[in-house]
Amino acid sequence: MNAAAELRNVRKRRGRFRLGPADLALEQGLVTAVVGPNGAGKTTLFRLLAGLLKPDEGEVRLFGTPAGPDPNGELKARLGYVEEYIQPLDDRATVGEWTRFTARWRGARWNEANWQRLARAFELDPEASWRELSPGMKKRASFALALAHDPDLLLLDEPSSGLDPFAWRIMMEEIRRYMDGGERTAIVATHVMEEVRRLADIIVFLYDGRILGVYEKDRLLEDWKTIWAVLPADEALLLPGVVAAERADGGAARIVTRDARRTESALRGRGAAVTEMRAVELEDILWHILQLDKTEKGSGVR
Amino acid sequence: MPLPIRISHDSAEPLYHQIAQQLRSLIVSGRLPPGTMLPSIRELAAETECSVITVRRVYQELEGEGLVYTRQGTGTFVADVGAERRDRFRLEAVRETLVQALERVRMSGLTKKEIREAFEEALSVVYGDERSEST
Repeated sequence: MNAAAELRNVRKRRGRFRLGPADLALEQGLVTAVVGPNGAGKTTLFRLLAGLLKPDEGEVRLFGTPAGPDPNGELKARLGYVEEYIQPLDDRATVGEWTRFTARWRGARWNEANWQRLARAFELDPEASWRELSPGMKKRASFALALAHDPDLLLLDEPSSGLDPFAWRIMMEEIRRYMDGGERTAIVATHVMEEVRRLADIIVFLYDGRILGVYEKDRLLEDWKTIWAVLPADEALLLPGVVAAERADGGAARIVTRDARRTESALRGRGAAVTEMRAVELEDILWHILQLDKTEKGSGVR
Repeated sequence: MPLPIRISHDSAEPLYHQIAQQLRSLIVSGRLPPGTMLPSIRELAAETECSVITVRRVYQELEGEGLVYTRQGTGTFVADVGAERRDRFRLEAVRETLVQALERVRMSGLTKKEIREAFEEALSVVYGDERSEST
């Protein structure tokens, strides 16, 4: 595996919040979605990857080398970072002025044609001053500026918050286009499951500063199923993979499993007819994973 | 142009298998003629809302079967599958579809005999009464 970015045993304290120890590798060519409740540590994770925070312990690696001092900005030039909130140095600057500043700073990597295309797609007005822009317009402009220099690694921290549905569509399409060659890598923190469904290859579940799990999206959707089968719910609960079971109509049980294959063959083994199988929605899967983590932690304390 | 591929999460069938199966039948049925450029891996992943890991696997599998070929830096294209192979693939695709349908039918708990009768009925619904047909 070729990792575009890596956290190795990283720990970071910020006030009362602790992240880690975190191990994570972002494979080149893939979109990794970071999901988790507010305060889970998503922004800390992103700022570590972007080199804006130094880990207290452990190592951050970018493109195969330790992310150390970057005096010539060579590493930074390979990144495109959209923060939750962006603020230019001087917010009286116009979009056009701020673009020229960014272009100079990006140097040889700046792709003017790409910028023009993005500015058109997002209907950016170069004459508008930054401070006059609505939050949604700021978001559009920051996204376009982060993407214009064709970075190797795109870090998007809640890129769609405040975006209208039209700009959102364009953004989704632009991320897809950005990823098209298969060489580039993106990591997206989001609360919007639709973005995870449409974009993500890998899902990282962050909770309370810990990485609860790293999943291949398709595997998650294949493994988790709701199954209706004819047997008592309390017996269903004992079968392998089952995380929840309740009584349904006609003596059947409605079973949620995280290992559909094993659960199904166990049901078959005891002669319980499976009457129906359904997908489990991504948000429900994550909710169950969180509950499982809480009960496991709870029993560990006792 | 998006491919007419529909995937379902309401089944135990792995996603890569669903996509591979539908893409195969698009190719062997001739709906995607030889030389057709397929969507990029990322495009097809976006269309099906699957991961590129899954789609990459599908393309590799179909390339191994000689149904598609990849030209470095250009893309993946539909290969020329001669008539004989096309017939064989077609038969395999039909078998596979029937197996999948039967997996779902099994959930009904009917006997084999009842299912066979239902199948004959369904056959005449779709094809009309072609009893005189030679085999």
